[in-house]
Amino acid sequence: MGGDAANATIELPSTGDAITVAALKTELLERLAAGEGVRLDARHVAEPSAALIQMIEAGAAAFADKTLPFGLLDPSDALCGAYETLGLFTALMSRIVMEM
Amino acid sequence: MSAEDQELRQIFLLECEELVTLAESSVETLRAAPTEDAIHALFRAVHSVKGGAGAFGLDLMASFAHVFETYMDLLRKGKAELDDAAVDLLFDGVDVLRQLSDEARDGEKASTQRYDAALAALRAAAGLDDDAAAKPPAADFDPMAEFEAQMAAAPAAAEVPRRKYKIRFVPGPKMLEAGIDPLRILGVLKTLGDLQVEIAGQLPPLADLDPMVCAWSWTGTLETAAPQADLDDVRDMIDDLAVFEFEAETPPPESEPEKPAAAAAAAAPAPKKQAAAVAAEPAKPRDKPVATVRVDVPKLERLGNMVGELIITQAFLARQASGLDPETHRPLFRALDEMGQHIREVADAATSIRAQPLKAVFSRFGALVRDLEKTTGKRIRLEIVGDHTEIDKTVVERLSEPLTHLIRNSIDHGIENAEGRAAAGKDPVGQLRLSAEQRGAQVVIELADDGKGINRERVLAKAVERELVSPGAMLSDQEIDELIFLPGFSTADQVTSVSGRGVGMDAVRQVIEEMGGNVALVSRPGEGTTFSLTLPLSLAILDAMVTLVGRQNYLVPISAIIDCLRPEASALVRMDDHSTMLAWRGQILRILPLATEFGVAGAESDPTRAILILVKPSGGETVAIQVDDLIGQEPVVVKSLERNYRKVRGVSGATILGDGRPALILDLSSLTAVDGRNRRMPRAAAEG
Repeated sequence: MGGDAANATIELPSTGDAITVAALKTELLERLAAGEGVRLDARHVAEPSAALIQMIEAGAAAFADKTLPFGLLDPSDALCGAYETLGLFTALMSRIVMEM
Repeated sequence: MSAEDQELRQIFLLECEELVTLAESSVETLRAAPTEDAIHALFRAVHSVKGGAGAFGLDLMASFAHVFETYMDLLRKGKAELDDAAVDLLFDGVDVLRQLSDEARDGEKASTQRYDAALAALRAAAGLDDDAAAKPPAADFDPMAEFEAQMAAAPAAAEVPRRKYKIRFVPGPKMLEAGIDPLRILGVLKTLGDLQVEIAGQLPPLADLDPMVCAWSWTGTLETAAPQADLDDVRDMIDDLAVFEFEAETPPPESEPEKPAAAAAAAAPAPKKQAAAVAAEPAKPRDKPVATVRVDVPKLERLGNMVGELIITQAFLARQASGLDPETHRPLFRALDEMGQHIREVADAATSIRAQPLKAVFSRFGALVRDLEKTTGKRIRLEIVGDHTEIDKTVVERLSEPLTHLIRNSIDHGIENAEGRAAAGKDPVGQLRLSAEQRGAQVVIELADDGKGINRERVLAKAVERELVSPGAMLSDQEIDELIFLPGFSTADQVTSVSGRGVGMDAVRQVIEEMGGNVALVSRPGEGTTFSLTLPLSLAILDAMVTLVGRQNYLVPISAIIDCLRPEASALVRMDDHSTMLAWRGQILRILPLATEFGVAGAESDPTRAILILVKPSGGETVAIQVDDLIGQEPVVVKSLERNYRKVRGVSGATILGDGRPALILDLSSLTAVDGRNRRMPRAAAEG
């Protein structure tokens, strides 16, 4: 995961296991506290999980509350499929942002 | 391992015991009459053991359960025969799981011989090669991967006409922690057909979101041509980690490959049972799980003690109030009555919290009987009835040993071998029935065999030979039967590995009586013997008759009292030895003055001015206990005299009465016991 301070991009892990999901939470909270918007680079997510998507969605709500930008960048097929399987396809559509 | 992990491991091992008990009970059911429920219950139990064992690094148990589960999967899919050999194999598998669970709990390592043998047999039966079977579900064990592979490999031939199911899936708080991802469960459902779901549930704020708890749930529909057994598999996989419900919206097809009609099963001529030919049962909703909480035993004991204090305080208040006029103090008496009722309810609730089903101990006897079958060469059918009956946890824990003695004894001495049974015109398979039922505030456990009964001639000869009974003693059949409970008594000519060491039956009676219970037996030559163990539901609270002897109080358990009377002089019989006996309903009863037994001064010595309490202790004769007066009936809290003082013959415990005075509770069996030699004297005199 990583990103720059002005326009943070967080690279999502390839696997959505407990450790990486917990790390994502920490990073999202830090960005939120810093008042920065984030983009989640999702192109390398190969093995998504309900826990990962849950964290992304909780992050989206938290950033929306503070009217900070939040988006998914280039989500992998696996992540798109997972969103769809969970019944969150509409939510996914509203999260995707285009790379500038 | 952290303290928290250690605690979780202990909780798992407790659950593991319950799962193994459930598994054994399922195998017993399968042996009697195969049902789909029993097969699924066994599969789920083994599966849960595997998951927990893998999570807590119990690799040996996890590996074994893995092989066991693989074999179970073949059975439930009808790919392996559920014949007698298979049932034996399942029993062996359950025995090994129990052994591994016990070892993990006690930290002891037993011989691996049984493990190795059962593993090899299961592996062979499951068609696993060595590598596959030995693959342990280690730390990175992924239960979902195996399940996904299993579901993906489901044969297309098993498909049935398409049906539409309503589904509901609510992950529990432990699901992610157990390595089961709801996403993958939904993924598996998608592979079965057309899945349409709606997500529900409110996510907590980001800062509060636990990454290991799924806050969502799903409802929707699944249209599939897969058999319902596949949905059962999904439910089994999730087990108690989530709620997974499905209900067919479209009617079921006329037949599904996995569920042949009952008629087909009935028509099967072969004696062997096919897993696929199990009787089709009417669909029934799964029992809704009851929320439970585990509580440390010391906390329960503290609760019990506090309830005991309440009972003592209530008795104190009742005594204080007894001197008041009920008319002028009507509200006070009403409040006392009400308080007494509430305290009884609290006491009942406290008792029920400590209660456990007897299944916990009964379920172990299947393995014991199977072992004894092998040792003795006899064939035995064990029938267990009423194992849902509940009794105090302490009793459950202490029952294992005496019941084991009784079962060993019945099989070794009672039930004949096949030739003996054939000669007696009996079924070559011996019957052993272990039953339990609650009767009032007691639980009665019976062990009945259909063997040859007690050989009284031989028992009496042995008793005389060992100088337990005087030669020429006049004993009734019942009294002769009772001799087997004397210490050191055994009729076995040879000490076998099964019984015959003469240490069993007296120990049985002692253990049961220590728990406030009693043992009785009824034996009929050629028909069999039945042992009855009567035990109190609770060890802590006893309904007692408070008596007065001199200035002392003695308590007699209400359950043992037959009658109370002040005798006429004409009912008293003077014996040659100057003792006095009571003529009562055609019987001559010994009179036992408590003042004499316990050396109490100032007590009434004339029976016609005293009260006689007629009691019948377990296995003993009816005896008249002489006291000065009856004070009244009172629930009392039993305290151990042994723990605070020492064991006293004729006394089972102590208590504090309502007036704050201590009192002794009579142990009627030891108080009224006489040895064979003494027994002869009054009887001979009476008959003379």
